[in-house]
Amino acid sequence: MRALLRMIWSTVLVVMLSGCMDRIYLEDATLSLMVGLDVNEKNELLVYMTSPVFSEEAKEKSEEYGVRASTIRESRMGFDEIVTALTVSGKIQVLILGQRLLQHPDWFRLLDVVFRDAKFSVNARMVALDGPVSEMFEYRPKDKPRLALHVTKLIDTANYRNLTVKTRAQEFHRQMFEPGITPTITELRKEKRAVKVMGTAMLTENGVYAGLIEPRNTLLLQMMLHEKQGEISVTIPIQEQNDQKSIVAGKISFFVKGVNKKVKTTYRDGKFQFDVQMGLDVSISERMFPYNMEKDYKKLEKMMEAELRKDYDLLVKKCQAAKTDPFGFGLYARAYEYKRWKKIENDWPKAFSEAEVHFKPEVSIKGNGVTK
Amino acid sequence: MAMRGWLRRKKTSAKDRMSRRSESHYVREIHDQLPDNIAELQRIFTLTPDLVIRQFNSLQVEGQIALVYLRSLADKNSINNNVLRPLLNQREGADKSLFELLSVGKVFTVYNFQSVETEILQGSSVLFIEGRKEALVVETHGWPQRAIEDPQLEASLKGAHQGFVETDAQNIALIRRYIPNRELKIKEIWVGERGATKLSVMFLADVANPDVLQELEDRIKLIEVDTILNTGELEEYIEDNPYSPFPQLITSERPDTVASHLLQGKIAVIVDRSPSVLIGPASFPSFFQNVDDYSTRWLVATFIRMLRYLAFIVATFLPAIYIALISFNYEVIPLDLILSIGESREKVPFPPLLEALLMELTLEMLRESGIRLPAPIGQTVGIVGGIVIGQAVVQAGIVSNIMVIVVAFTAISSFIIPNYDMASAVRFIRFIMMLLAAMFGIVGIVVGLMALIGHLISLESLGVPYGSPLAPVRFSDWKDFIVRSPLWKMMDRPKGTRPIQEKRQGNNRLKGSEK
Repeated sequence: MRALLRMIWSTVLVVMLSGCMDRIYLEDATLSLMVGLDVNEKNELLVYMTSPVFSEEAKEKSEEYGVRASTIRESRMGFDEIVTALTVSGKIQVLILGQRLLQHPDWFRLLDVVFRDAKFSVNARMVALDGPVSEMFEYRPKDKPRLALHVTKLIDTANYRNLTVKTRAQEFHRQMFEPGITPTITELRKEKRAVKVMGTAMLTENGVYAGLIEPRNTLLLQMMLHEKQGEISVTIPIQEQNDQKSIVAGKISFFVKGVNKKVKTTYRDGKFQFDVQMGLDVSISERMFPYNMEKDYKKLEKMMEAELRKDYDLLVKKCQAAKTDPFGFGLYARAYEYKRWKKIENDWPKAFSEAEVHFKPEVSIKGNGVTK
Repeated sequence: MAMRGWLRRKKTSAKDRMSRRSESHYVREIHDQLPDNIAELQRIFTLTPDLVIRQFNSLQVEGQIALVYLRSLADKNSINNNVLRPLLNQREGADKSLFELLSVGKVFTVYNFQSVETEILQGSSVLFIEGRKEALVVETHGWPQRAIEDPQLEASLKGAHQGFVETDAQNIALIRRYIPNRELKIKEIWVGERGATKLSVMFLADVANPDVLQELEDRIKLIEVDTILNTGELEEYIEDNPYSPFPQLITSERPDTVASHLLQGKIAVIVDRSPSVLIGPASFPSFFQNVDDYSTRWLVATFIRMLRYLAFIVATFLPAIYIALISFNYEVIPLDLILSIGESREKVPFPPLLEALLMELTLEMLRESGIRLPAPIGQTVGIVGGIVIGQAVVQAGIVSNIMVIVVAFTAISSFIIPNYDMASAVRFIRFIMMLLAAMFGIVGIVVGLMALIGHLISLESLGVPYGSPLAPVRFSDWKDFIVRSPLWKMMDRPKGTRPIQEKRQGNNRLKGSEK
């Protein structure tokens, strides 16, 4: 009897507990899937949002709104005034930053709520949009699923082929706060009939837009950052025979099957020196010129190495000119030359722009495809 | 205060109140005069039209004889051929004693009316003889019996196709056929004031732990009831924790299962008049084992075991997780799934808990109604239920598609658990978990899970830990836990039952694999 009483009593207590305050049923929630931030000519913050609509009666499958607000959290109020249900931020897939917003050096502070509110999704993919954000949110393609899903998938697959980076909000936060690396995010552009991946947007240390790394070079950046990840397919010109009449360029394409990166860090002549040794196991997938592989594959390897080194050098020059270090060489500097690093810690991009980087790719052809 | 008084009313001891009705305690000696005895019998058995008292004279015995038996319970053929015929007809062998004349296996003498009454009520016949202060009990049982059939609840693919029946002698026979060994001992205990039930406690004397046996016997001896109608009743009187939803003793209707448990050092209680046998001490994993496990290939058996444990988790938590996810934590659902859930829930007018309760209760009702209906009608219930659950509810927009999938998955999972009692326990816990999930989300489920685990490891069966071999950890017993390792690996009996003889078999591996 006493046990029974105890059970009844504890049930009553549990039922009366007030732990159920944050319950929102799925049907009472407006899941924002894509959020855009931009500023207008008067430097006012514009927040855009798109969310799926589940009602069968509705003709459109998603709703898009933009509001003027001074912070993201304040914008939620604005959205709640318009949308059917309660705006929730737990499932944001894409966070789009407008071109104009990225010109402001203090825009990162706007994202405070993303990292402070535990309910906010830190998995959102960060995107820099080349153009006004409103264009993106007004776009309603007929041949695509809901725009937010389409963009998410676009970024993920483009990232798989290493055409762009995939920087989630949390990773972006790290890149912003880490002095040894500058952030890189996906860059998109709203074309007339499609959304196009432009490549990777380089940002400076405080988040200001500093330039674009094309998909071709993003491959190189990704190999440097993550070694082998996803599918790496490179096409480079090889100057074997210069036949002007041929419509076929002397190019060769290959898959990179394995990357083995070694960075040697030294400090000489008042600069940081990075010797990057990159072992690449490649498998040729396309060859636009006749070549005797059995005899001269060593020669071909050398040519490929030279071409890759040229590309890498150009990329590094470009980054140095833009005062960015998307490769994270600062991490190596801190790890191997800590005393020197300590002195320039606060302005690593400047130190990096003076540093010397020597790439030394070592290509080894492992496969030749299924034809000879 | 009034309510507390009512709750505490049970103050007078059970003994006092029982004694008032136990008029049946006759400790009266048998008289030497036959008419006195008959009068006494007629006083005991009033309104008993099936009582037969046959008086006759025999050549072999001096004085009149009275044969007393219950027509309904005694075997008439046996009485006619083995008792009456030798006494009435035989002219030779006048020098033989009464014992030698009766051609029945078991004959013994009793001296008081209490024994007489008990024996008559059990179907024996009793001979009273003029001038003797004793009576002869002749075993002439013969009551309606069922043939041995395939077990209904515990069907098996490769196991034996014999199930227990309602007569304990038959059941003992079925078990003895598996273990014809002199160490297989039986202790008989009678329980019940009115309809004394014979319990046969069966164990392997050189394997079973005597302390556990003593514990079981003590508990049985404390029972004071009218009668034990079924094994389930006995279980409820002797189990360790009556407030737990989990079965703490195994009931089986398969003699091979019982034999296997006896060989592990467990103790079986055969309840007369009940077709199932109680086995203890039980542990949690033993409810997920099945005789077929040991006759299928061990890899396959292991896979099926894992499937059962997975089914246990699914059947307990899946609806709760569904509720928690769509009312609190939809952040963890993958995007594509959340969109399809959102689309299917869009029309549903109820909150998730109500939706889930509605479907789960419908399912339980369908299941429960199907059990006790005659087979032809049972099918109709299945069809109606299938249409209601599967289609109409969704089309009417009362329940979402995903919920139907969840319910169906849960139902199938709960049917995979081989033991009926364990499956019922899971069904019950599921509802508690659903309530917790509806109130507190994932946190609620975690709290429920912790409480569940805490409860499971604190349970005991006949004083032996229920959570063994997981808590306390007994690694050697893990050979027959989630993995059903090859039989030749299980050299020792499971330690969880605390057997006094640990070695089960020799090294049987060498013969087959010696190269």
